[in-house]
Amino acid sequence: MNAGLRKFALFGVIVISGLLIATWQVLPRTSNQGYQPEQPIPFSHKLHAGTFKIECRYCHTSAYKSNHAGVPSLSTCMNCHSVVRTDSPWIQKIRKSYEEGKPIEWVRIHELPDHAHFNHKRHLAKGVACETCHGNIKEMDRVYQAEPLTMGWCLNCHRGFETPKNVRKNVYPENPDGHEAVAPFSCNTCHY
Amino acid sequence: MEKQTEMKTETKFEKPRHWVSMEELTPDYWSDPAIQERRSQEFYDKPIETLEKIENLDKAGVSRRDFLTIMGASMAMASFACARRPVNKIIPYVVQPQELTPGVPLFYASTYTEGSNSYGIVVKTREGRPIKLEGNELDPYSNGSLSARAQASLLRLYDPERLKSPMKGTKSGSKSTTGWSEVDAMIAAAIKASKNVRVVTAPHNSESTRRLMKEFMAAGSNIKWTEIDPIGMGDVADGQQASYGNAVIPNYAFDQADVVVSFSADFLGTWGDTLGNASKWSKKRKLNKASDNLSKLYVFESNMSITGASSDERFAVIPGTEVAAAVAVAHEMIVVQKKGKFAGNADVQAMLSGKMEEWLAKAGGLDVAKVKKVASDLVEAKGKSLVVGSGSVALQAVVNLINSNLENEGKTVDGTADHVVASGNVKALLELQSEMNAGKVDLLIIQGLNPVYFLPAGDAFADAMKKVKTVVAIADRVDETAQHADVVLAESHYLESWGDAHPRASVHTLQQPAISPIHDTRSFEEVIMGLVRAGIPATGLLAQVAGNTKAGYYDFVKENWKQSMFPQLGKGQSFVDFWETSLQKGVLVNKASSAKERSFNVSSLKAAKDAITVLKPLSLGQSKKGPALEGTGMVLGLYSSVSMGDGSNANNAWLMEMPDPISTVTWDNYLNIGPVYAKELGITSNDVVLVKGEGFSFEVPVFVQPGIAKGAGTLALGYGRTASGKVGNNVGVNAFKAAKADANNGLQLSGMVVSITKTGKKYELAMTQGHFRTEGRPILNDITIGQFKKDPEAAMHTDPHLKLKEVPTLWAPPVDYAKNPYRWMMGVDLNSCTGCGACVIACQAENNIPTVGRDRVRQSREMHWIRIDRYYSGDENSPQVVFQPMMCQHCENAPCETVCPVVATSHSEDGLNQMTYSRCVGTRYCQNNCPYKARRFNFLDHWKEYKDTANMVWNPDVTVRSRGIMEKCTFCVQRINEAKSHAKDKKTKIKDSDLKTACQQTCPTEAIVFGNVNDSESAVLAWKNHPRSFRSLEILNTKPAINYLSKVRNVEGGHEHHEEANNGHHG
Repeated sequence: MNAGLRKFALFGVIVISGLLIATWQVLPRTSNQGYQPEQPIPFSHKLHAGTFKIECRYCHTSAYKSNHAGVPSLSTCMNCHSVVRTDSPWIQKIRKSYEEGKPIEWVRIHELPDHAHFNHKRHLAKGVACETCHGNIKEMDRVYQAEPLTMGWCLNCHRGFETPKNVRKNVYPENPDGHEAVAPFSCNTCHY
Repeated sequence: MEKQTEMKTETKFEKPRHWVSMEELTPDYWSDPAIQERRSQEFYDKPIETLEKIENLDKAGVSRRDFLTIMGASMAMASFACARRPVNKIIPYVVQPQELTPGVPLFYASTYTEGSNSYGIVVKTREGRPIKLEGNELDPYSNGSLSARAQASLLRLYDPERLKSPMKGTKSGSKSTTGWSEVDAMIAAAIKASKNVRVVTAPHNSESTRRLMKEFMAAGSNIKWTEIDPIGMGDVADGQQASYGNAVIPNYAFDQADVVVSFSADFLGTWGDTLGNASKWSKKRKLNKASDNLSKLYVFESNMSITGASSDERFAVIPGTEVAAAVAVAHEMIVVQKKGKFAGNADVQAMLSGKMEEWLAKAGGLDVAKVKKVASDLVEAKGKSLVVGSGSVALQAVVNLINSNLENEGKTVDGTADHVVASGNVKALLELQSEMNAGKVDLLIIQGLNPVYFLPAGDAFADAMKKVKTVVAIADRVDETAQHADVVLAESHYLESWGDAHPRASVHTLQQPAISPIHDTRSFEEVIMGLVRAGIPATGLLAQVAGNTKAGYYDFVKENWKQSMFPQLGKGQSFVDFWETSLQKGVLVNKASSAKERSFNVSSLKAAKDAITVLKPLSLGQSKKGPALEGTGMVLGLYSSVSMGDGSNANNAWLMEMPDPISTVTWDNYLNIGPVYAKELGITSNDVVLVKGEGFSFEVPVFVQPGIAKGAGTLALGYGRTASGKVGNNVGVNAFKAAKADANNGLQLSGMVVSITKTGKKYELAMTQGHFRTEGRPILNDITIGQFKKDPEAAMHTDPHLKLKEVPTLWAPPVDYAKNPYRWMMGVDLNSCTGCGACVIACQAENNIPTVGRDRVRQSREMHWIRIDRYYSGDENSPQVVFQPMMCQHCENAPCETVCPVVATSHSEDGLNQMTYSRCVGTRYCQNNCPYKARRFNFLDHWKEYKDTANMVWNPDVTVRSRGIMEKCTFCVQRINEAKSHAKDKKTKIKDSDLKTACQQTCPTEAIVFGNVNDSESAVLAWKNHPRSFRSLEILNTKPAINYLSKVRNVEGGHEHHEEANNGHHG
């Protein structure tokens, strides 16, 4: 093979792989699974929910009442941190924000598209655990998106394919081992 | 058989039974290739070429080729933008308000005030921002309904062009931002230095405001306050004053009246307590079986209003001659038939002497026999009839005479118990103007009024303002009047302010704010309180509250309720309990005493006598040459439209884009003239004419409107604003300039003789009717009471030939909905629907429907999910009108579903036709295949037009649609899902009372029901099995989920064309 041809082939390979990479970059992502951004304050769920066993809804108060689980207001943090670990620079940052009345801007991890409406309350009422969708949050120092949160993933549970046992038992107390759908899957259950 | 052969030999063309425009009545329309081409372009098979033609894109320097290039570039950019998901932030509260749960709405009771009417409302807020208004069901007048204007008042709260802080400057020069303390000190100093301070405001209907002003004025004798309702019911109040001695606006019991006669009073749309009127009137129109009592409505009017459209018999009169028609009715009743209380009264006889034929000829050539019938019907329903009128004091005198004569006074007319006490009218404003001109006013404070705009000689008022040392305007924008003020105080929206209302004896409402002021603004009462704090002495409660720096107007209202309302209404309660329940309820109802009959003052008829003597038979349609008038003489009548009213809401895009119920024109006003007259003048719709009268002239497009008398023209008020904001500026013409106003008669809106001259220019009105053509298919059913009694089944089918119970079908076996807990259906009563359009705006607010602008409406790209179709039938000069609310029918055999290539539209198990936005790729096949034309396509990202604060109006429960997406009525599926969630919490099933769609909830006549047909107690099931129930276009076997109830008119006989109904027009 002469040098010219080899050069040309190499150039071709570079161009083609460049195009492939560019295409991969350009195509929209359907899932953010694994997304683990840095937060303005390195709040550890592992410490709070894991080690100290603080209940999820101590902070996410509206999960049982609303579509949204809610992110706690600074006053909730201050319930403990007005006395706990006040020497930590991060806690001091929270305290400063609280006193100035400036909220902390957390980076959103679990995000459904605008055209999909998810209701926390209804899922919790049927016994879906927080961990089913949010992963083993008690082990996460920095939270990441553990599940794909795609429509197919939602429907797997709704249609009864990968439904947690306890949820199925809540829906069909007399037939906990069946394979029927456990939740509606009409389009406008979520899309409206 | 004989008749049919006869028909065929006479003419091959058969007029369609219902028509939307007059062109359809000519054979040419259906055969003309140009029109066929236009009809085929309804869905733009070549959108870009069509767009180029319509928008003239070349003019803007963008050719089709450039357009494609730009498109290509933006597509490339769009795809790059998608490479990474945007990083979104979650910003929680610092301290979360205790009552608030993110995602759960909170409701506050408040009050909406417009003119002399105040209604209790319920404000839905999400995370602290109001997103939807509903009527308060405790309000005995609105019964939980709300008008289109009230629904749209929400958008005004978020108007990005609202004033954000007070402004100071010079009368003619520019104004700059300033602070409240500065203006407070300045105005306080001005009050102290003034001999004569005048405060003029819009009506407040509020006990607390009245007390506040009383205590504000008590300390100094130099302040005088007047409430003014410019285009309200000034003539009614003056007429009541003349006839009965008290200036009130009576309460009219339309629900007690078997015969109602209206002389140009559009009581269902724009006149008086419209919500109460419509609600009461419709109670007598429900007709659940053939033997039910159906009231009869006669309307004499110059403009085609929705009241006239809902009437059983309508008489088109020349504007300003209603009084002649009314005198004719009174004459027939009292002088000829000698019936009623005044039959033997010589004075009345003398006042009514004359020739009926002559009067009726002057009024526009009305049919004498028919008018005689009106008089006999009224006499027959003595004590159970009602006559109302609008236009002049002279007319009111005759109306009052007829009501007193028939002993309706004290029965259907209540001027003593639950009436409204009238505010001042334009007369008071003109008196003020002459005082100002005489230099007698040192300081003028003007709030909620825009006289420079709405006075015919507005410039003269502006000149008078120059003679006042200091003019303070309290307004939410620098409007036409505020432009001429020294100081403009930024006014809060009513949803940001405390207040109360006491519109009539039986109703007390509280106005609770649903959001704290978005900008640095104050309400009128807070301005007054600020002045007291700046050193103006006050007395009583005002002095006490203002003296406490921590107190606000809230404390004033609360204390006032403690002192005045609590002793009356809070028996057996502590004040804290009373106040909290009052706030929660919003509306307190006091039992009103029963109405008493007042004695009629016969001398008030003199005005009517004088009025009909000066009426001259107009030689109409003929050329008039003279110094002031040239061209063609025409009598002009001005009316306030259902959407725009007096024009104070001109910057509201929802109202601007709300199609007029009759003409379906948006974004403009236009001169309505009748078809015969138009033909004589050689004018067609969209011709621009020059209208010239005494002291004014303007160019305005013509709209040929069936049902306007020959020689007459009508024009809507409220347009032609110049300082309302980007939306409302320079839209249409200011019709107030054509009105007359003098200190004796106030504002006169009809009877002006003008000349019209063709200019040769064309202007395309943005009309929605005709975009969604029905091709003459049998889309609705209207019959007469006579037919209904003879053949009750006639009400159940749109096509008399189609009485098939089972239609053969190629569809898969139907889904068995009976096994599901829910199957959603809707019922719409065409007999109750007045076409007022409240549902259109309610749906717009609930479902995040964008406005698209005039040009897009011209291209038939309006986005409303529910539209009110208006069909005419009968003679084009005096047509009958029927309204049909039309939205997605959620067909069982839905034609849209079978053609979608990506299954973006499908059927749910509870019978909804669901639209999945994320699946839609925008083929628009579904829109093409929908026989109801209920689907709307987003050609553009309309939501991007909602900038700045306007963004806050979105309902977070409904997806904001982006470009390229099809959408349509969802039966408010977000409300269904919410109700389902509540029912699951309570482990019950949804009942009728748990769920209402937005259109249903706001409807003043309860013309819409919605619910679960699998529930045996649901209203919608009853309507499905109703004797008047039919399904639209049943011939197509789409099996809609909407059952319409046929319109049944209270006239004997049937339609002329009924036998050949719907056979076609394709001749």
